[in-house]
Amino acid sequence: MSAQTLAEKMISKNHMGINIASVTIGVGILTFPRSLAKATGAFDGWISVVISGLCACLVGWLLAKLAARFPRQTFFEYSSIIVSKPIAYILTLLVCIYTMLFVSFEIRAIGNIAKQYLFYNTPVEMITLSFLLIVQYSVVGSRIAMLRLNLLFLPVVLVVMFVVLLFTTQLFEIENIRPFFSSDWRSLLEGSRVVGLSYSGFEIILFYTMLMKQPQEGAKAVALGLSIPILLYMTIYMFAIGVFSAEVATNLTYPTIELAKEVEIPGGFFERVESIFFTIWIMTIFNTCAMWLDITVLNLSSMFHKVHKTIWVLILSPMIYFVAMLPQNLVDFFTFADNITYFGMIVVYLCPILLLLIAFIRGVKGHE
Amino acid sequence: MNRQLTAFCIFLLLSTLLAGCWDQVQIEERGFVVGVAIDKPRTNEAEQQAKQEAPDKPQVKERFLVTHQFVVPGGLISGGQGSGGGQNTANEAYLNLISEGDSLFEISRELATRTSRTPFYQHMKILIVSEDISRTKNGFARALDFYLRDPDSRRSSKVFISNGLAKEVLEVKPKTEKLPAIYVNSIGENVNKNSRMLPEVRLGDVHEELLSSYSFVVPRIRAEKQEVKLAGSAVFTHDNQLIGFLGEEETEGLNFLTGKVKGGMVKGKFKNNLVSMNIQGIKHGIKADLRDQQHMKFTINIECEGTLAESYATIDSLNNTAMGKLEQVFAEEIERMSNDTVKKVHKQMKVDVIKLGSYLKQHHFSLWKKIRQDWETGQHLYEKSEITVQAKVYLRNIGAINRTERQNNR
Repeated sequence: MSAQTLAEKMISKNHMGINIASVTIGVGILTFPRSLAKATGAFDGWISVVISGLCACLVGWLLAKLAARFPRQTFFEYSSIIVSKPIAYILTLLVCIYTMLFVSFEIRAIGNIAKQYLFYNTPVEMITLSFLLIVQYSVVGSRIAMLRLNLLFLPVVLVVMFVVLLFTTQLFEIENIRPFFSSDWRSLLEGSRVVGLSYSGFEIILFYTMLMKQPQEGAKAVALGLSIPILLYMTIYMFAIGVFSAEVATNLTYPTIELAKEVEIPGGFFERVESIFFTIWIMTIFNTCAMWLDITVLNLSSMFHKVHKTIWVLILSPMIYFVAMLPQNLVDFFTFADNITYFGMIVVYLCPILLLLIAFIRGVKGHE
Repeated sequence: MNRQLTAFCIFLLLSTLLAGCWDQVQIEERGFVVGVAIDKPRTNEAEQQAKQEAPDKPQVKERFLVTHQFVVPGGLISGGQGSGGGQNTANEAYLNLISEGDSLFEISRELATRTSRTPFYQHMKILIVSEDISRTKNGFARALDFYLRDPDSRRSSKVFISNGLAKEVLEVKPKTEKLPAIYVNSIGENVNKNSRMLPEVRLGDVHEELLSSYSFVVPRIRAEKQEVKLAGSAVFTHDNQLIGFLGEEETEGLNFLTGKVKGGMVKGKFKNNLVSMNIQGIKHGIKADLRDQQHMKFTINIECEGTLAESYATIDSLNNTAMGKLEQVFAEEIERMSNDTVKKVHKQMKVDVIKLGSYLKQHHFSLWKKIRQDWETGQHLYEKSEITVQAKVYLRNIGAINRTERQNNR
């Protein structure tokens, strides 16, 4: 086939990196300065961001190696080659549950935050539902087209974030960031654990490598994809501490939103910068959500060939919506989020690494 | 047929989803709050009445009397056009609503029964808390909780402590501005002209101080009939209770001690004649001798740069020795003011508003971790420390002239 249509095009290394960055930047970006400041109690939290990011890179590298061993094969296919079909079924189903829960979490986060800051009277159910409908729409269409939206949105997101941070420099107080290197290694490790929750997302490399032109470049894509969130988180954390001080950051529900609210463009020409911030943040959540839902559908279709993609979306959506409505309050919601991530650590980090080990020992390899 | 039915269903679904907005609020219906003043109620009349209406209501210790200042957009239009509105005969650009209750949220919601425009806090510029409330235990923090917690309000509102009733500040009738709150807000921005004013303290800064273990200061404001005076500062202890005020000159001294002088003037006496300097910049440094923890020694170095603004002494100011003497005069004055402040906050009030604790935390963290509990409380190491001030002045310019009149006998 010489003339490829958009839907059949493969994705490049850089595109994959941007997908990873888009999926990683999500809800965590709003809350992580709070938990990180609580864990480290100082400016040094940025070290935790780096440590945690490097760990994520390492895991991502291993996952990319696994996926690159089996080019053009889905997760279900290569795991059934490595460890028999029945186990592959179980594993893939667990992955599906994980990704589905993740979608639930993201859409509920949209609901919660939009209600708190934007729509005071609109019910959370309604906000969440309308968002889910749009996500469905994007997933039902062409996969590559959906992934291309990342290329469109991420630069906007980064530019707006940069502008927000730029205008907070006038509130930055050097007293807040001193002393440097005052936290002990234990609190730094605790901080890394906490911020690690905000890095989940790069595991999409396991599933999307099959779409890549050159699957061997997966590891590089992970490094590129993670370097953007690492830098972004580091700057946001530094600014959050510089503007608020660690004590205050610990006591803000969404420090990053408050940071955007603090922005005042001189001259009183434009006062509410946070409205732009919300817009771009909802764009990133949209990308994150669409990719997670797409991966759920991808994995389900790889197991059950006969069912059409649209049907899967229609079956999954009510379940996702129902789960999203389960957390009763903010504390429940945050616990829910943490539990999903811990579950994910087993299912999409630990298990695939074991798979890689087995594949390596048994010498199983895919074929082009 | 089937296709048409689907289209119809989608149409129905979309029209329910897209039509109507739960949160539609027209801009005319918003009551923009620009200033809030929080007082303690003078009488307990309202409390008695509330008790009669609901005798089983839980008793509370504190009650607040809150004045909200709303913008009346019609009044902002200058000239006679505004008077066409009818209801606003005085053509005032603002409306003050005073309400009383146990909680600030309650008061805010109570206003909904009295005004057509419900309060909207996103543009709140100033927040004034009265001295009475700040003097009660936790009173200051309680008065601010609502404004910090409400996602609508901003952390950039300026906070003041009123010497006297807070609502009087919102009741002044300034000649230059239409809105008293905006008037106060603009005065707060004049810090680079006068060093007797504390630099603005934002709601976010107050939150930081309330959470930290240091003492802190908040600008003081006093209302007079047609104007307010924004000078001096209110001093809070580390447990966030107001213990006293610093006067104008003491505040100036404090600004020198913390290096927060942005501009202003220093007067001095040169051969019994008055000279004054326009401050243009200041450098500030702290040196600490921490060998004896029971008796720490701090030296605060102040380097001040400025120009000669006024001189009643007929001196040849284009002369290096004369300049040197002038610099000496101003430096002594700065030292005197700073020492007066140190005397008051260090020996009398015993609060660390010079932020030496913060300095120790920033530069000697390992030591600070050990003595954190014993700084202002416990062993009271702050009280036992010794503070000296050294000032140096650089007079860069003498202004447009050398002398106004001829020197005597020459």
